[in-house]
Amino acid sequence: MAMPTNTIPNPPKLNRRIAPTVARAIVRLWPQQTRAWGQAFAAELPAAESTGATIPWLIGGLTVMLREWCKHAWRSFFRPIGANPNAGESAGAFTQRYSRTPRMPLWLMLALTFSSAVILLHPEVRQSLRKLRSEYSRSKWRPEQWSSVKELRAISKSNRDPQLLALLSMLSDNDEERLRLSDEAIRKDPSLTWLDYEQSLLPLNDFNNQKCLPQERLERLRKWDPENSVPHLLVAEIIAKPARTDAFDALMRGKTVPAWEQGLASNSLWTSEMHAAFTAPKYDSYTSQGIELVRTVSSRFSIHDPEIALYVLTTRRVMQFDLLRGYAAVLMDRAAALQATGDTNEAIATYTEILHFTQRMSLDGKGPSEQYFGQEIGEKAAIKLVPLYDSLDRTEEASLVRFQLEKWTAEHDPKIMRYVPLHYRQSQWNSLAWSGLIIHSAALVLLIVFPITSIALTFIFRRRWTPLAQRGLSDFWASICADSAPWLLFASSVLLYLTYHPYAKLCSAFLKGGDGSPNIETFVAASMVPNVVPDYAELIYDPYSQWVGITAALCLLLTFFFWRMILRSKSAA
Amino acid sequence: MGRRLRISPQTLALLEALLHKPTTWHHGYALSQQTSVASGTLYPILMRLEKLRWLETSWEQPGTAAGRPPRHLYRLTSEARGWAREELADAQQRRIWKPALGNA
Repeated sequence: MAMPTNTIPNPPKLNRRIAPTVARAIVRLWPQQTRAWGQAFAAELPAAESTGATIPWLIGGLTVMLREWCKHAWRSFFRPIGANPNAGESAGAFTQRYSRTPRMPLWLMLALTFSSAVILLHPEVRQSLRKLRSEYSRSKWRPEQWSSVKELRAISKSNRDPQLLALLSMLSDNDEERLRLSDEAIRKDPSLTWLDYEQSLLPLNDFNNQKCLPQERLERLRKWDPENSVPHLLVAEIIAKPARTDAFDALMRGKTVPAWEQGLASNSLWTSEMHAAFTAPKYDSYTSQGIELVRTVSSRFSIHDPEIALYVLTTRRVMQFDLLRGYAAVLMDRAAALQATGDTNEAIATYTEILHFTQRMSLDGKGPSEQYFGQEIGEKAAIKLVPLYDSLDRTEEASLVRFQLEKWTAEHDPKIMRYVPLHYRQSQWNSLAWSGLIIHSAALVLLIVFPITSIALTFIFRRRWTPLAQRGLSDFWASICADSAPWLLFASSVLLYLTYHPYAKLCSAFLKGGDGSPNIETFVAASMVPNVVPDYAELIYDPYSQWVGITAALCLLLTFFFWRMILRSKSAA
Repeated sequence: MGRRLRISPQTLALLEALLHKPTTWHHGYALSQQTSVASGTLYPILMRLEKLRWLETSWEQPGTAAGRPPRHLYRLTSEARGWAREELADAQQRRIWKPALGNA
């Protein structure tokens, strides 16, 4: 070999220490495939005569190294993870039993993972996962632990918006805070006085010691909404409370007790309040106000959490319907007595009082329970009214009552059943439960795939230089995981999104309100997804079953390691 | 002719330097000095030339010069010398390059 023509002068003194160290670092960082070029560059460094020549030489080396890294990174996108570009290993060549290496190119793996991440970050998917998590954690029905409610609380510190305060009062499980917030909201916006109805049975979480609304609040509600039956019913509840409590206690002690309403029938205070309630021009238990409040706050503060709407709807104050049943029974007895004495007109007036009230209740009540109980009580009076009208040849009124009866019969499928016991509505229940099961399964796959894939990829990456002949069962399984996990991740994310999307759309439309908004029953049913599952799968909510499942999974894992240990000891022998 | 190069003034200058003494082995720093091409540009061109099989490379025998590592040496392959001359002539004809070291 002919020698180079150039001669090397003495290296500059200032660069004797620093420059070689930097050059060595550059070579060390150079991609392995082209590292020889890095060494070639570093070998020239002693030839630089001055500091002025050394520094540009080093900078040049650094840029070439970075350029090589970029090229290396770009090319690695088209290789499977852990593939050794220098080894020249071919999948088709002779391979050992466990010499399988990942086959999916990195770009495909990254594309699938990125797409899955985008889907998983979609608000609807996040919402479904949050709902699932709350089902298994203590945050279920504890709004103070929800991020949306925490956000609203944070806003309320600087913005004392009356609607916001009203909603927070309904979401609070602290009685004192509920009253304080609702008082402040009503003071700022008197149209929110209906909140007094929501606070009319406290303490919220102690059914045995619940007290009725204080007199001053009751008066405020009555003054604000004088034509409504509901404030009268609240007063009647207070009057009836001792008699009802005694009857309940006696029943609990196993005694046979007469109907509590018989005793109250002679209480003129109670009967006058109930009469006022039954004859008031409207019945409004403020369901629509509650829904509107949630919608207003959602749009005003851009926090769209259907869980809030569901909580407000399902935990709000419910009218004590047995009170209505009791008074209706008293009226029915009274009408029957009048009918027996031949006072047909008075009997008709009494039955009509019941019928008209229940018609208002099922029409104005907005909630499914009002519609159900209105129908149940009203039907009894209507059945009695028809022959009475017929006997007096009041055919027009008789046909009106018949029409109402037929309408109720046609709607006999009780709307309240759409709330929770969906077992009675098999097809709807099935679709909700199957959706819940699919979302559960997809979430479970995600839960399993994430840690296993992370471990597998780390394992493969660390053993990328290990020759195929030296690879074992763990390498085989790691490569299987690395190839299948991105597809599983992507499929689960897509499945999760597609399954939950229709329900999320319904919830979102309900929160927006307007013409396309679904009714309460549909919203509540949609909100149950993904937390409902078919009957046979309900054991997933049972802590014992969860414990058995986790134990079984750990046993399988242990068996796998034990099996691997046996194989290793056999091959060593 | 082998695969065509991406012709740039720096590549032409390097080819000229390599053709100046075609059978002699050159090393990177000297080539950089001769052509005034910075190391950050020089090495990618050398790597490309080697990939296209225009360039022969070799490592200096260890111990040739005490106190410094063996250097990487380069010269054009016998086939590439012809191709390089053609490229230089073509560039000269198109007036995008003129010889700096005399006739190659």
